[in-house]
Amino acid sequence: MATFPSDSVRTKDWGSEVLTDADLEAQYDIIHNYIKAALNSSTGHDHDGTSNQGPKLSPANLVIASQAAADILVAASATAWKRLAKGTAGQVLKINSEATDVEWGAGATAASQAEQEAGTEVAKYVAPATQQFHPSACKAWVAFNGTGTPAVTASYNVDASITDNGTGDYTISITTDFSSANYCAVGMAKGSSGASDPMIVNIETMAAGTLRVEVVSPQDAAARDSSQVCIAMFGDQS
Amino acid sequence: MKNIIFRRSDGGISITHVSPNDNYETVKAKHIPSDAVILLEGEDVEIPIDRKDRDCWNFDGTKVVVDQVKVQAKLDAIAQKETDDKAAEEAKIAAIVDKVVKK
Repeated sequence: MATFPSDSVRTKDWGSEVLTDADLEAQYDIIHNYIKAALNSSTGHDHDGTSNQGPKLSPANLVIASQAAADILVAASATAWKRLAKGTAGQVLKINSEATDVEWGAGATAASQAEQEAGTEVAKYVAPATQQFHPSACKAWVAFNGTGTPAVTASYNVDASITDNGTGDYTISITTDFSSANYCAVGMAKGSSGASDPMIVNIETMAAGTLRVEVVSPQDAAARDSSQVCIAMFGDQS
Repeated sequence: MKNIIFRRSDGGISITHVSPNDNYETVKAKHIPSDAVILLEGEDVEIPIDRKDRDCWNFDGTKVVVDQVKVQAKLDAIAQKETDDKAAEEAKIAAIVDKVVKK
């Protein structure tokens, strides 16, 4: 609160001297400045006496009934406010079913393996840990060098071990098996001399956990070792 | 790298190269057919470097070798096929000539 000026600011003795207009105006200014300073101090605004700026809201001075850490201040109407107590761990702020208020509710959950496999859920999100279970997703793939000792160069859900059954004849194993041998395998292989020697990847045997393929030249139907064999597999995983 | 050498039911020799990143027993169970005969399991088993006659590989009791008897049989089969093809071609030509002469 501003301090009111003492009598020492007066230039005349009000009891014995004649006060002029200037004297009265000076006194008026003293009172006006006092009130303005007091108002500014209590509201935080610079009131200049010409406009209504209203009170300034200071967070330190704002108190809500029963407030606690993480509570939220919500407009209850066009003119009133209310306290929304904090939610529980993992909850998110949502609009209620009537679309008239906000409330805490469960956050979105990840689709399960079964929901991914059904492919019909629309309200859940796809998590990296389960996205591959959708029927459209590739379940396993591998790229390997089939010359010399076969060696995997890149893969997903395929073991790094390869069986060499003969020229261009390889068995690979799937880390997390398919639910049966009824799955789709597609493959390409690099020929020894580019476009003039294209290769066909022929399926020898399929099992839930293994796939045996043979790289064959269509020119003479003979198997060939290939420096780049690529296979991708689609289907239902166990 | 560990290797498993086995003989398939069709008589061929397969070699499973088991990566150290994989579980040995799991790979063994998956890669070796139930009707196969395991011939050798070991670390860095010796196998022929030249794969030209890969289909003629055999197991001699201690390691994988190129079976020269099979190689010879393969060469004989190729030679026989060439002979048969040539004979078939000659027979075709003879048949055509015979038709022309009769006309």
